[in-house]
Amino acid sequence: MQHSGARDSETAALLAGLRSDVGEAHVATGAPDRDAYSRDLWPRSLLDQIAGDPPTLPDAVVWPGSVDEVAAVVRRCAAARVPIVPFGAGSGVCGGTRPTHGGIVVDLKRLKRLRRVDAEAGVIEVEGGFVGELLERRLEAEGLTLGHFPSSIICSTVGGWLAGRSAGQLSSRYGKIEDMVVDLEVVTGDGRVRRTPPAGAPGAGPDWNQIFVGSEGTLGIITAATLRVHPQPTARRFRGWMVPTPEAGFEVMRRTLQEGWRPSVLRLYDPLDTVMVGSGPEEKGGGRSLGRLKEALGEGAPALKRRATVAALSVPGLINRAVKALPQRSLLVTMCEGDEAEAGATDEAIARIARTVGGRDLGEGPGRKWYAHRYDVSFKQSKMYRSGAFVDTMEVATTWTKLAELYEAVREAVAPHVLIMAHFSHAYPGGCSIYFTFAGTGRTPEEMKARYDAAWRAGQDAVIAQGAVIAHHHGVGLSRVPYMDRVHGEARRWFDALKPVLDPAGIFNPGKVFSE
Amino acid sequence: MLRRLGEQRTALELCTYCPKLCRFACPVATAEARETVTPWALMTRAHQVLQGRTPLDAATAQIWEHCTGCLRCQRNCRHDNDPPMALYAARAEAVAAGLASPALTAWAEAPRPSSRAFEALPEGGEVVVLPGHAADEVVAASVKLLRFAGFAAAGRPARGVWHAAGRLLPAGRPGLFEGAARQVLRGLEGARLVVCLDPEDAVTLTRDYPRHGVSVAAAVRHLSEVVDEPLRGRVRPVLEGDVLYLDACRLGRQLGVYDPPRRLLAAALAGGRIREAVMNRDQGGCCGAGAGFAATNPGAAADVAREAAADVPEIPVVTAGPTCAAHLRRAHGDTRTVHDWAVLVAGALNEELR
Amino acid sequence: MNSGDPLVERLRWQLGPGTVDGPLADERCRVRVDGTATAARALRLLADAGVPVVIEGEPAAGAAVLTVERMNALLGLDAESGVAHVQAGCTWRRVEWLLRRRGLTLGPLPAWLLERTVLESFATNDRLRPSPRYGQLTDGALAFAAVLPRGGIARSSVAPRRSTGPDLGRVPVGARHRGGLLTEVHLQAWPAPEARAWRAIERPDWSSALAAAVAVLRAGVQPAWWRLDRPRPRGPVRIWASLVETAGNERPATRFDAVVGGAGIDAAEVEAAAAALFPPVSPDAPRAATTPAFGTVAWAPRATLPAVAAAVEGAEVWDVAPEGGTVYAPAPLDELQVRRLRDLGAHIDTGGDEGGDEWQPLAEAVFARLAPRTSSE
Ligand SMILES: Cc1cc2nc3c(=O)[nH]c(=O)nc-3n(C[C@H](O)[C@H](O)[C@H](O)COP(=O)(O)OP(=O)(O)OC[C@H]3O[C@@H](n4cnc5c(N)ncnc54)[C@H](O)[C@@H]3O)c2cc1C
Ligand code: SF4
Ligand code: SF4
Repeated sequence: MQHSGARDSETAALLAGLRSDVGEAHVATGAPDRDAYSRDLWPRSLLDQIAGDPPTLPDAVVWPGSVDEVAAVVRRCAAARVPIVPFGAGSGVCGGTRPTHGGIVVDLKRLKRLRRVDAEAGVIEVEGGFVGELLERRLEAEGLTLGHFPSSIICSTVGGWLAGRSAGQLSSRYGKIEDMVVDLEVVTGDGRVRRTPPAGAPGAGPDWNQIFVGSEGTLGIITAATLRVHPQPTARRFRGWMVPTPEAGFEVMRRTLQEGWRPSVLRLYDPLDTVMVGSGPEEKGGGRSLGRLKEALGEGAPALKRRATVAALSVPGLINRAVKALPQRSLLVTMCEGDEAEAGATDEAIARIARTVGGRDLGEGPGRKWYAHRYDVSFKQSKMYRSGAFVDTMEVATTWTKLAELYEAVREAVAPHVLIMAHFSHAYPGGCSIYFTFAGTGRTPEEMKARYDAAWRAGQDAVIAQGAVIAHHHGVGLSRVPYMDRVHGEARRWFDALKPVLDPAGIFNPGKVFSE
Repeated sequence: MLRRLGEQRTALELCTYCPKLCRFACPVATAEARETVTPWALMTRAHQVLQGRTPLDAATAQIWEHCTGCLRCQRNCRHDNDPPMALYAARAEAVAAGLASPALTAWAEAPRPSSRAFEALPEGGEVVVLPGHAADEVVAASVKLLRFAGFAAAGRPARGVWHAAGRLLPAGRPGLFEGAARQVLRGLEGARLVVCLDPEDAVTLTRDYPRHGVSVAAAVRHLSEVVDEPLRGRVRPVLEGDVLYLDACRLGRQLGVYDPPRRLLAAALAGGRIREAVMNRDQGGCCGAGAGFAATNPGAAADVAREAAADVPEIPVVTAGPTCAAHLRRAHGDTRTVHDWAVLVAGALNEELR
Repeated sequence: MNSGDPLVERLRWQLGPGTVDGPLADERCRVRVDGTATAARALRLLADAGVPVVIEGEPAAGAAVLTVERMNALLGLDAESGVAHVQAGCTWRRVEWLLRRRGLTLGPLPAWLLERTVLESFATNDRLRPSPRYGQLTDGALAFAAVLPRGGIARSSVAPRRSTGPDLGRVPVGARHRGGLLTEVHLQAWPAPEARAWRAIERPDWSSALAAAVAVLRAGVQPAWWRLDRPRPRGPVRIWASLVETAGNERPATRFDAVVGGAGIDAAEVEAAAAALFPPVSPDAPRAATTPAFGTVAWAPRATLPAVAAAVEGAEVWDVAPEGGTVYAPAPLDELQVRRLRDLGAHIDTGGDEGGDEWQPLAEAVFARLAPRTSSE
């Protein structure tokens, strides 16, 4: 193995040991498995693949079937000093599961028991490999909800959510995944199974829950978690508001939350995204190039669309300028839930605030439409890549006061490289995240990669220059490692102190989160 | 070279560039807990082979066998993509490359289970019964249901036809399939209605035949559809307790038949009720046997079957596809009762009302 | 005046005049830092000299005592975002007073918190302000600055949430300064409420009282502050709740009543209790003498919370969530009682091993790695 040198007999011994730990059928070294586990959904990996670059292969994939088997695998790899890459469903978009150092990918999806449902206490204990959508459906059948609905709920696991500090579409009401944790069961680098003290329990630091949450496989393997759940809402209210400017939208979101309301969705689209989601009959402006682009990204004749997309994206500067000429109107979609009284009161409160900023009530339509199609946008990815374009997203966050400035700064910075738009969908009393979506192209795969990299660099640099946070919920993985030292400075020493204690052999997901 | 796979290029590209958006839906990938067998990875590998970036070798051919053709992926795909169709093309390329899987071939060529009930049917007629791989007990029960429902003259197809040869497609033998389809067509000549006991045959006749330029003149129905109306009010409550009804993928998701089997089943329950899995109807699980999966990967296929029924443990399982029921039964062994719908309902018929 | 001690002189020179008042060996000597930069310089110098540091604590032989009372400024206020940037030496009274003058608040601050510093609360993770509406004070930081034990400055960018690795800012929280000295915090503040409504109701026992409390939460009502107590053994259990109404948001009190019925305790008694618990925060207001002498604090899961509360004489229950709550015992519990409560699934703060045995050695190892190297290293 790369990590320990190419010592074939040691590798063979390790594999034999792993087979005895988890069973012959649950260790794979064949090409199809190694290839399937060579990447997550980091778009940069897809560009590498399109370019025909050789994948970064693990040496083997292992599927432990119980917590004790996870512990056994960890002990064995620690003794052999072979890297372990914990793997949920590989839906990460930052390269977090890319086995850059070879070693063993430990797929956790056989850990898929819902160990406990306690509706009375509002908690469940669920294993790390449970796939999100399947969990939510199970809970729904019991009249409960976790309230965590990332767009990737259909292709991600509980462990992956926790490891990456994931955010769901209803985060305004239910919080991010880190807000839902009561305690965790983790396997640390010494191969011991440990349970963290419950959130809220008195005690000395560190706060182990919040250390493992977000650790992206570098400090331990999350095998199970006790999470807060809620009764299914009995009422929902949907609405759309057309506000005159993004800033007016910020105002509505901010005041709503600061007044103490808890709507489940406050989702504001910037002017271009407002045009793209087609909120109303009357969007005009933006010029020909934008029309072409909208046509390209919308439904239409496929061949025509491909050409239109590439043509539009090859001049990002021009298109971004055209976008600036758009009317500033922005669509705010809201959803309120709870019982009738709460949903209604929240909806009315938003209405009161929205009217003060000149918002126009578009009725339930936009909210219902969003809800019905809430996971659909990701399907556009295939079409874009097929037409020779790339797309990616960059989610950042800051306080309300700095939000507009951050939005402009990032758009300015990436404008020469890619077309960029944004929505604002995770809001808190103190601030908000910006979810940028960008698209670009290149004449060759190499040029595409260069543009992609340039856009990311420019975007993240701009975020750091603004003093904002470089990631709101997609994590660090591999893609953001180059920025972490700049962002954390001396705080990194805390990580450096934790790492050798929790992972003495240094085997957990090397090279991720912080550079080695 | 790789012509059949080449015809699937669009489908392959859609999946390759897709962020695994049907990940949760694939029963095989869920049961195996394995990314390698997600529609995304299976299709990506096929795409790589088409691009000449991955060799078409035995390991690759084998991995393409990890699909039951349940089409739950398509159900959850906004592109309406059809991975199994592309994977069957990939399997055809594997066969062409000399990588045919003996287990798959044997499955596709499995002989008809002996059935006196089938053999007793007169040959020809306006209404013919296609038993597929149903066991004699199921055929007998189905014939009884048909008789009670007023199809007294139901016969069997001519020329020894007993199934629609649909297994040849997942077995990677599209050429043989097309030949067999024409053969089947001749056997069905003169029929006005073809009653399929195995939903798979109904899917083959109504979906795959036209795709391969073969069209069936007769109406094609699953047994449950034709007996539903006539048998209402004629089924007695005989079975105590609740049962778990599982939609067979071909009957439910692919033919859209959900309620007829439930209706007659409900009538056969004495006091109990039909329980549903968390994922049901068009999102229902899979018995694991489709597309030869139980033949090539019996262990994983049994896991798929057990997962389909796991949400509602212990109580008896009922399903309205004879191969599904048989496989669910095999997968559960002694741990659980599995009823074939036709057998169960036939046993509940009120003979006095005849 | 030159102290004759080169280290003291270096400290004075680097930290400014009036910062070190005597030879370090004198147990009355204090090193007074006034901000992150000076704290960093002080800790670095002392670490380099191999002098152990005690922060805000009792002097120990050979150690320098560092104090933060001069670190008490409001460094910035972002009124729009409601974010107050404060130095950790501020008392909660001071922070709240500065905020109130601008129409903002941290939420209700019980008397016993007012004289505590932000640093004390964070360093002990005191959880003394249970509030479904505003959260625990020690959970609500949007950013922090801290000086690591060897003098490095750690600073985070200001945002409500992030996904940039583990929440490293939680390393020093509760660590009693061993993870570093917290020097600045960005706290979430809120528009000051228009009105505050008090409710106090009674239920016959802990089970039914806790069930009522959870029903309130389930109905989407978030009291700004609440507490359950039982003044007489086997007497009724009372729920005291403060419900705030911000502009336009008048529903909490009404909804509370709808869920659990109206006030059950005499209004005057409730008002008097409220006034005692939440005295005015203006700097010239008399200091309240209600600092509770809590003996032992335990967190128990929902299933055993009533039993844990019932097992402790004079218990109060705070921070009720559906999954569990915190039980405050008025006097320290003895070993036997602690063991009994632990058997009931309680997590108990006995002042050291509260993380449970299995985490304690890990915490020690982490802090050891952060600690200044001793001269023998
Ligand atoms: C289409 C699409 C939409 C998305 N939308 C959202 C969204 O709305 N919100 C959001 O937050 N994210 C979103 N993401 C990102 C991604 O889904 C999340 O990061 C998710 O949490 C990853 O989960 P996973 O199970 O796939 O983890 P993986 O990708 O397998 O792993 C992610 C990281 O966590 C580590 N890890 C995984 N499991 C464990 C474990 N049990 N213990 C320790 N470490 C572990 C891995 O080593 C890796 O570093 C989206 C991604 C896609 C492709
Ligand atoms: S079938 Fe559809 S959803 Fe599934 S991977 Fe392919 S394109 Fe994506
Ligand atoms: S048809 Fe079923 S088994 Fe095959 S890839 Fe699709 S979901 Fe998986």
